[in-house]
Amino acid sequence: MTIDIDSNDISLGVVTSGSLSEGVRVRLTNPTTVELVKVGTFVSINGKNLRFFGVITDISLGVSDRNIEYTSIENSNSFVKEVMSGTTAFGEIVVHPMLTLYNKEDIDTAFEKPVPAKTIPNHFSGVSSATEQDIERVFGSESDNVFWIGHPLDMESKLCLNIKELVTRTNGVFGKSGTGKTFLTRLLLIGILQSGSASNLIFDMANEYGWRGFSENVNEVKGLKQLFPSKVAVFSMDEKNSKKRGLTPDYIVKIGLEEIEYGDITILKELLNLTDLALDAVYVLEHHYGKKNWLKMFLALQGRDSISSIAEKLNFHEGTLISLHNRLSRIDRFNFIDKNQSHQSVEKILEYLERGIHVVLEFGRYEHNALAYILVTNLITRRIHQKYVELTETSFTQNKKPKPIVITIEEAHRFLTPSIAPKTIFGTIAREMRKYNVTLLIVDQRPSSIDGEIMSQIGTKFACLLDNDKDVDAVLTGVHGSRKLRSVLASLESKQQALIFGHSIPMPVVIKTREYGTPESYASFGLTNNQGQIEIDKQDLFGET
Amino acid sequence: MINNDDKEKDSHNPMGEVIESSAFNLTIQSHKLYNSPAIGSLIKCGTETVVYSIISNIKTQSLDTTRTTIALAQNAFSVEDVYQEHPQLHNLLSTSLNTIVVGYKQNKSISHEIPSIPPKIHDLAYSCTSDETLLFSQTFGFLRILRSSNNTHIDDVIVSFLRSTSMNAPNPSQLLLTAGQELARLLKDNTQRLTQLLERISL
Repeated sequence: MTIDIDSNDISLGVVTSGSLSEGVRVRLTNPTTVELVKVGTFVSINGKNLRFFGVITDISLGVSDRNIEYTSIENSNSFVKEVMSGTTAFGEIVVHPMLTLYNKEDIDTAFEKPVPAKTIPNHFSGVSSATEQDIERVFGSESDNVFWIGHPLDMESKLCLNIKELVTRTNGVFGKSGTGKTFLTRLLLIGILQSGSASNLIFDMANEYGWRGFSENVNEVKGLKQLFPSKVAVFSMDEKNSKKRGLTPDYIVKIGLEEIEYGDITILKELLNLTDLALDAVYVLEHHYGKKNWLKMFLALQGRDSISSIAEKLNFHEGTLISLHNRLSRIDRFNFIDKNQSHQSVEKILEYLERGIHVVLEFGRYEHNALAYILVTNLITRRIHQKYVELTETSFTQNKKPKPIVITIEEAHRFLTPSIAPKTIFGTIAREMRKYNVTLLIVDQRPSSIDGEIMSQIGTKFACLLDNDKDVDAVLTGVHGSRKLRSVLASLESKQQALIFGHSIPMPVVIKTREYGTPESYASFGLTNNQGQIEIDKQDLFGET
Repeated sequence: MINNDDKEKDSHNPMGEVIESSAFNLTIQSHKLYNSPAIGSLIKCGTETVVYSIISNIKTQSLDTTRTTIALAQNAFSVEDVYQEHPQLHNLLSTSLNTIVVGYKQNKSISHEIPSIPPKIHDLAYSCTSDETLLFSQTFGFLRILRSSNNTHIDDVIVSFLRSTSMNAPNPSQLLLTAGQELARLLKDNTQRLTQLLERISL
């Protein structure tokens, strides 16, 4: 990297006043540029000794004499306006210096990581648009662990994300429906997949990640399996539905009634409308019949009499158990539930994950069935949690840490509402599982419904357009400078734009999400876009479909 | 008053000489009655240090201040007839110019500053050619000196200077724009005066 230490580019303007808390005011050199400058774009400031990296947070029109506002210059000829604009009437921008790129006095700092700015540039420091080199210094350049996620606003430079840093925390993708959450998530998943720093387990509620998805204008886009056939396995809850969509799943997930425990029922409290008393009953039933058989035995009870005799035995009100029976029997009706035996689905998933293969679990026709989604997601995650806690604990003695996994959940607020979050496994993972190498990628459209404690644990937040005040508050709670971010968040375009801030990125940034869905975009992942090859891979893996 | 062609021709001949000298203002008496460049024209005088000044006023009056002139044209057909009938007028009246010092040239470099030593009395004064004026007006730092002059009609002088200079410039609008921007910087706290000035120079 070459660094031009002496450059004092004033192509945008010069610093005239300001403060660290409010940002520095920059008078634009060229009066005609005011309409070309946009809030949120990056600039570099050349101080006397330090080079700063900042972001434009406000744009205003300034005058040297208040009387200009009351003088009817609109009646004057164009010459008067031409002379006055840029001299007595000028454009101003407010720039927040976010990072110090390097110290000109100390050339070694030019090769170190940029640090948060703790001071501001001198008066009359030159301000120019950030160069590609500056952006690379701040966000890194594309490499194994650094993934190109999009472009800064109005710039061609690639904005990259350190995936290795990203997966060490629980992350969240938020945005109203139709703002590009799924596309952004897909990119993040590809980033994680390509970097190899973690294995993905994706609970794909709407069948959008595995084989194919759709863009809003009903163009089909490729899913992970099509792009990375050898690295991705699609597990399905519904074989028929998967085949209908042209995919032969790698594994059909079945869940034995035997595998469902008390902890898997508590999360369904709201969905099944269970009372606290009913949950107590589940606990007692589990104790009574044994962990393996309680649900099977309980659901096998036929008729009012048999239920009331159990109620009497366990000292519960008959009505409580009858309604519990009715409600739990909804679980029994799912096709993926096997009454007779337990299945090794979780073990199978873990086996794939340990081999470094990323698993997409498709829900097929249950895509709109919240009960199925939550039951299965919770059940599998609980088992993985247990396994990972064991693995990590043994790893202390064997010095071999399990491969980190990232669990992607959609409609996350259903698992993480304040009332159930403390009790569910997702709450635990969000709070402490990074120690056990398990993190979440939360995808949600109602962040305000997610428990505040969990929101505050989220490492990196990716916020697409949100306009509900509560949701905006929830996303920005506890973030430094949230007042300014709020205006940025509200002014995002409804498509392909996101605000990223938090742990894995040195400063909050608005991006235009990388293109996804065109042949060129697939090629940009370093893949040969050879449909024939993909077909061959497909046949190799699944046989003739 | 002389026209442009005469001005070029006369540029090597002195048009008058300094009869009152100070660091900021000069009075120049014209060698010929009524033979003066227009208000706002650039005048130079001095030899080693060439001092540039801009004409801010032109006066023609009786040489002997104790004797006032009287009306003579009552029966004449034109003013020329009066001068023909009274040739002594050319010796009794004189034309003098007030100028504001705006810069000097020393060792071929022009400064828009007040010279450290004012011109001597009887230093010969020359009108500057349009090329010399344009060379002097490559930058407009001297407008600062004009603006701070205590002459009440200084804005008219500025307008006359800029209008006549721009007429000879290869790119008049660029010259006016640069001059206008300098004025805007000087008068940034006086919008009314600035807009009036700008409107007048743009005509």
